[in-house]
Amino acid sequence: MKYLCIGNPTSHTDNMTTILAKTNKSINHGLATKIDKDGFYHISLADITILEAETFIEQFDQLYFLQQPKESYDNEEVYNNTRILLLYVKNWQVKPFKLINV
Amino acid sequence: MSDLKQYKLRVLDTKTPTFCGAKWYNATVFLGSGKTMSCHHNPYHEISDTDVITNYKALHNTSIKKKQRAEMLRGERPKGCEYCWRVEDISPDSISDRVIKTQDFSDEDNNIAFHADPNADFDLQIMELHFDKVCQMACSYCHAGYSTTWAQDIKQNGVYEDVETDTHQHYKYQRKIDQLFKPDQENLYVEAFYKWWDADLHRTLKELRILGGEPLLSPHIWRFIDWYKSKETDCSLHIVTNLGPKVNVDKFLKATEDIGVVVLTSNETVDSHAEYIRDGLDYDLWIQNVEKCLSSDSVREVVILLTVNALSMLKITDLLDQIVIWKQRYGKDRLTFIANILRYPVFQNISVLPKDVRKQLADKLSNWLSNNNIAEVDTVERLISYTELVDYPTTEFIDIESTRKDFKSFFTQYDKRRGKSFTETFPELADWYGDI
Repeated sequence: MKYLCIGNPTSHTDNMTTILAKTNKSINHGLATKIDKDGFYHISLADITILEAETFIEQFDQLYFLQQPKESYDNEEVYNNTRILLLYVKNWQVKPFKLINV
Repeated sequence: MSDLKQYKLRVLDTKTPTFCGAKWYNATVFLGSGKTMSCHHNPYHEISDTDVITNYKALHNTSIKKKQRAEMLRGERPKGCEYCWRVEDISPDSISDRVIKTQDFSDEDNNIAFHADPNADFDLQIMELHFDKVCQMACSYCHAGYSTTWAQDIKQNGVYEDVETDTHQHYKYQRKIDQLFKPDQENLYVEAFYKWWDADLHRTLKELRILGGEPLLSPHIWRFIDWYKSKETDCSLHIVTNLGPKVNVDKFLKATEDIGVVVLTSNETVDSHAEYIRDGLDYDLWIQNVEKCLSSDSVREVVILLTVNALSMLKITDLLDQIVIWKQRYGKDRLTFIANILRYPVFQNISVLPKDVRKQLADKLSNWLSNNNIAEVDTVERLISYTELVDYPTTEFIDIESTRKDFKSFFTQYDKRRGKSFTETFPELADWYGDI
């Protein structure tokens, strides 16, 4: 199973991904660039565009949206795009997802 | 000194070197995808869903626009407004669109914007509103962000390959994310618009343009027309429709009986050429539907929008002949036209055609203009010069051979997917096309 954590472009997202991976007895493979192993990966909408995200998330079995505060994003557009991606995933039930309060 | 130059000196330059009234009073809002932009030259940005839930004015007054307003008030250049800065950098006398757009608002309102806190919320005066991207057509120069039929093409046949100059990524994505809500779901952006309309917009808007997709096929349109009629308003309602198959023109004209709408409809050529470029169009039906609108008391004015691209130039004068016939029959002010030159996708820009063909087409159009007495002389003259003189679509793409290669690559795939034939439709270009 492949899991993707979506959050802000800071080390906090990587740390949260490690915690989630450990909780699920799995591994954090880090930033999702090469997705070839089961486990946890992370990404932010600063790394890819929202249009790329639409197809990118198809590769994963489950998504985790990290509910980091707006202030933790240095770029408001990245925050808004993350919210839009969440709306899309939720409304169209694109993938199973969980909201992770931090 | 021109009127615009005088206006710029008097109204804009006395504020800051970068002020633009459109940043306060003008917006395009995409309710289906939760996006906005200040004018059509700006890139769009996402509207915060959480902000809109607590403040419907955040549909336009986003924190990103507020930052840009603050930049303008400091005399700085917001990055998204690059189109105007480029024009202004050509020469100190260049008049960019920010001058033209600011003129849409009164001197008093522009002064209010200038002296206000940039973080304050402003009510719109001109609004372009997209409810969703439902569209029955898939025009060659459109994309999946504006048409569900285009999205279907990408879904069924995959992305278009080998179109290197598609830097705006017209043909690379299904853009499912541009339709955030299922048709039966409550859309928080739509609800915010209605709240704002009831509270302020019915009073402050001078002009509301409804666009799509094809707005007359949107499930939102009938509720909207009822809502519009429920408030007393001076807002002029403009509907931008393709008047194509499945559009119930009779129902629309009946629903707008007491309004006096302006109908804007797109087409830039005739017959099989129009049906090739605007995939899904039935040209004869379009003619009938335009005439229905021109004959109806529900419609104040019909405007034909010409998105002039390379292929439309071959028979553009036939469409202009039709427009002249309509002007004679229904009155010259009842029907007007605007010719916008297509810049993106760059390989469908007029400059892709061979220079000798462009010269012939410019001469043909020039002859047409000298034989016809129309009010829209400026727009046609601009088109003539552009066709004859402009050798590449934008400064980013000066290698015309690359755009020609993409032209062929795209239309080869388009023909296969849409069951069309470029060479049968445009035999006069067949040899040139074959040699690319």
